[in-house]
Amino acid sequence: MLVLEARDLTKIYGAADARVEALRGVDLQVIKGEWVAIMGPSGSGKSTLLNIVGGIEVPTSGQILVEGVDLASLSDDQRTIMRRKRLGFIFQSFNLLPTLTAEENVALPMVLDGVKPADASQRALQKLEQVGVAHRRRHVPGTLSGGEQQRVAIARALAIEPALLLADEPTGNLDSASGAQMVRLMRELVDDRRQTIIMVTHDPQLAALADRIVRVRDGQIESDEPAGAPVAAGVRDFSPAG
Amino acid sequence: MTLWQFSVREIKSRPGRAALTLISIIIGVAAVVAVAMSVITTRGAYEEMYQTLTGRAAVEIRSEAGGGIDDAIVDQLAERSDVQAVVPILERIAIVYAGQTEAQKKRMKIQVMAIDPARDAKVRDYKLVRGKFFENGKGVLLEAGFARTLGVDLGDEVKLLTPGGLKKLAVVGLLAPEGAAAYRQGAMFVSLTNGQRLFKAKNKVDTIHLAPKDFARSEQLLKEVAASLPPGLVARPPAARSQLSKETLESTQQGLELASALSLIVAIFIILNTFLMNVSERRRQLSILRAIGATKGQIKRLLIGEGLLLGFIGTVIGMVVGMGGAFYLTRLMENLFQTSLPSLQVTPLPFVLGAVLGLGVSLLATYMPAVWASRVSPLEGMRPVAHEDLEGVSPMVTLAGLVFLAIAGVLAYAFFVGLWLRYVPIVAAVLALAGFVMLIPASLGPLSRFVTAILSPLLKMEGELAHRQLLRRRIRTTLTTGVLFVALATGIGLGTTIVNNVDDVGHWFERTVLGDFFVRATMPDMASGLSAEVPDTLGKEIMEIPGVSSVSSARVVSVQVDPAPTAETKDPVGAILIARDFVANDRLELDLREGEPEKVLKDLCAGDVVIGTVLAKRSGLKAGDHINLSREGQKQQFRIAGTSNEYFVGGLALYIQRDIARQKLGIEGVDGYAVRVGKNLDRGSRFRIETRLKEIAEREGLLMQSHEALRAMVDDLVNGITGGLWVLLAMGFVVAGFGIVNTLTMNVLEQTRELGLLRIVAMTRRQVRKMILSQAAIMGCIGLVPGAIVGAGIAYLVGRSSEGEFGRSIEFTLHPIMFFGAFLIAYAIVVIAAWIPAQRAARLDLREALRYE
Ligand SMILES: Nc1ncnc2c1ncn2[C@@H]1O[C@H](COP(=O)(O)OP(=O)(O)OP(=O)(O)O)[C@@H](O)[C@H]1O
Ligand SMILES: [Mg+2]
Repeated sequence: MLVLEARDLTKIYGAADARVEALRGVDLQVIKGEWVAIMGPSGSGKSTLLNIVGGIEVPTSGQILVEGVDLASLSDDQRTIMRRKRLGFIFQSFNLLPTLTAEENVALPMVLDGVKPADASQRALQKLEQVGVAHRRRHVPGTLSGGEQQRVAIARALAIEPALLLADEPTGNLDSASGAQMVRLMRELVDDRRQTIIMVTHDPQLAALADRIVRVRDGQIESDEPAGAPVAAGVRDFSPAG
Repeated sequence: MTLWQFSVREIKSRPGRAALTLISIIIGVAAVVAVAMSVITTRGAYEEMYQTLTGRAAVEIRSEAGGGIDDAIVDQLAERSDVQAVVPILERIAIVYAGQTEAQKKRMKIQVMAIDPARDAKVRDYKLVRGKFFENGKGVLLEAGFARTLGVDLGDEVKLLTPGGLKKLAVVGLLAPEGAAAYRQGAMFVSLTNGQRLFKAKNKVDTIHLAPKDFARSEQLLKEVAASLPPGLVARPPAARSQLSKETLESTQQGLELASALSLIVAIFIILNTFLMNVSERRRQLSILRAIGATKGQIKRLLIGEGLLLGFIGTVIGMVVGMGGAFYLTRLMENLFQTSLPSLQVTPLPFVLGAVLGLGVSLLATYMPAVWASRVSPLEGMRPVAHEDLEGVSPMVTLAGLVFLAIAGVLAYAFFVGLWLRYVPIVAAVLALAGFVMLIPASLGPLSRFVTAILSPLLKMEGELAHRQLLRRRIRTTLTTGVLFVALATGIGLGTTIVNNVDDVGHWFERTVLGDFFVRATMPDMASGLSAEVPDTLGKEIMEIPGVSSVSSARVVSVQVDPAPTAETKDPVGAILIARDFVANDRLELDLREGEPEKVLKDLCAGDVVIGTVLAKRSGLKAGDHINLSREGQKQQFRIAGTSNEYFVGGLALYIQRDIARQKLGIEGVDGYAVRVGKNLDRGSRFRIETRLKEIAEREGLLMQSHEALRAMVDDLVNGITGGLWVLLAMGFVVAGFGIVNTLTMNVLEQTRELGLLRIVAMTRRQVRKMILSQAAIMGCIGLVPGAIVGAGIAYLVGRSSEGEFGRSIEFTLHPIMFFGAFLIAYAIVVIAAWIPAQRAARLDLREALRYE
């Protein structure tokens, strides 16, 4: 089943001298339960692609179908609701709200969606348990370690049971141990729950854990092949589910 | 957790900012509530006094000139078949002495109402608490509460100072504080016959009220009675009076209104500022919310909800504070007008005004930022480093600023060519302030560049960095400099106005109130100008004291002035005539506005009059014109020798030579004496004179004051009013100071990462601190220099605006100490306020700084 289908996406920033063609005709299909890693040099358009897939930005042209709905054709509010219900984000800089506790941060998207506060916090607790930080649920982000913060961010993204989990360099701000732990968590999600994930990373070792690696260069897809290079095998051993 | 809780959490997470917003709302609401409430209370007091006084009466008869009416007419009127009751009243001001023991002794100025018990009870309600409604026409009635104040009870005796000397009277009845007794708690009731005897007004009354049998025929009755009255008497509907008292209140109220308008501007501006800042600080958070699925509408509602919550709390607290302020203001007015006002009137209007202001401004101030915030792109949350203000300067803002300035200019011009609308200068000032603030964003770059260049010898490299940082946060810098600008402009505007007015009063006092000692019964009522009479034999006795060089007496009476055909009003203008001894070849004791002192003095001695500028304005008369004065049925014409600045009875006064007044208008009696001592008298003899005068005053139950004491008293009254204004002003400055702390703290928080980097790369703590202080110094210059200049402009406008009301402008002087003092203090507040965040930046924990959140 196709969760994502991008057709001939282009994105142009600025005009005249400042014109940047960040994406130049990108086609991409992702099926349910697939974990796609996007790699490429800096400035190649990885984040741009991810943002468009996530409905945070609109493409200059082309179609972007999430579960068959074209995000590019939606109004801002419709796109927001799509984000809220079907898309989960993990950011490099965790982006938790500093005044809310871990649990409240996780519950927030559900509250925004009109879920009853009690139900929302119960589900939030479940998700926190799933990512292993339930014991920190009453802490505010400032008192959590980077790894813990990122796990809360994952719980928040998962809380809505998204069709697509999007992660832009999710381990960029983590030490290697936390990073590895985090990736193991993602592997579990894919294997146990058939969660679909698109992840941008610069780290070939992490990318190797994904199912498929898409390489981007100058706004175009350079290669798209299954993961499984020899290096990756060693890393895969980290994964208990492996 | 709900979104609502999220809001509350957000508010709590920045207690300083929330407090600042609250304080601004509280100040704004409190100012409005306090002023409105005290104005309503004082106005209401006059109206209520009037209504309870007139009761069911439909026609009021008075002598045209304010003198007495022969009471023979009362019986005549009573014969009319369409009249239910004819009620004659004699009202006088006198001094009452009460209390049995030395410690309880009280001396108080009161109004004595002489009423005809039989006739009066038909029209007005008197409820006796205890005692009787007079005993064979003898004795006095007091409102029960007032009797307690005086320390007397039923059966006690009080002494009353009358033209015939001190008279003992027994308290025969205590009245409930309802109906007629309520209108003025400090009144004493005697029977008409008794009153006429006490005040040597045989067969005289001041007012006659007529109550018709059929109220629907009131108008008919009024017409017929008016036609039948002998010349000199006028009949009118009861509400046509007390204009004199109202006008004296007006100028005080105007001052308060001006002050609250200005403090309101500062408050509104700060509220807007804090809400806007709130949004610009939270951009990143808001964008995260957007990214995880909050719609634009949800963001908007969230922020508006927060604004309304703060607005609501601030409004409620502001109302309570405002009531306190109103209490203080009414006590002030009581002092100023030497009268007792009823307790605070709690009507809905001030609260409605306060609520409209508090909630309205909060809503307005949140709506704009909320719309703005809802446009925050979810993309911003994706960036690891805080987003920079991408908004360039919208040309619309600059354009709107120019339009505002243009309108302000047109208004100011219209005002100067003679459009004397009361609120024109205030509106022009507000528009000018808003206009200037709107020009800040566009001019921020060059201004900051310029200031940095000038200060560069002092600030060096740190100044340059500060300049960059300020421009990076264009919106916030604009808001902060805007607050500084508005605060100093209104501060200097209001401050200069206050000082100029106080100077004007002082000037008037030194010119007009001459004499080393004053002996009189009471301070003349500032509102009615009337005071109790003093025995007229005292003058001689005082003159005989060795060392006294001159004794001049004065008599104050009310008169009616015919307006010139050009005047706004067609009705006679009520005024106070002050008959004084003017001595040829002496110094003229008046603060002249028109006319040469020597010439005016000569003319006065020859029978001319000098009129107050307010009276001149009201009656449309000027120096050289002829003025018609009527009093007790007599009408006389005088030439106007000049006009003078006058604060007595709100400027509705005129001066005449005493002998002339006696000959032409039959004005006898004395209200007080001004005593002058020889020029080169040593302190010992001066002291002896003072002691002797005190003895005389004691014996006669009079008041003796030295020039200094009187001046101190007037200063006290003036200070009472200006004190309130200064407090308002000071609060504005304090709030502006908090604003600076807030902005710079936010700046530091936001720059945490960059500051950390700078520290790691090379900057010392000192340099970091200096950089933050430089930001404050630059913003200070950009906001305060134009603020000071515009403030002076406002003061000039306001000074000129009094021309419309008072027929003269308050002399405009820019007090250098005040001007530069306010500037320096404001500048100091800015730099001191910056110290806290600067310190915080200097102490930055480097490891913390490098973390993203
Ligand atoms: N808002 C924007 N305005 C103008 N140009 C932009 C904007 N966002 C991105 N770009 C440009 O688009 C191109 C692609 O940017 P993008 O952020 O997608 O790169 P990336 O592959 O994620 O790089 P990195 O690995 O460094 O994060 C870059 O050249 C960037 O400068
Ligand atoms: Mg990127």
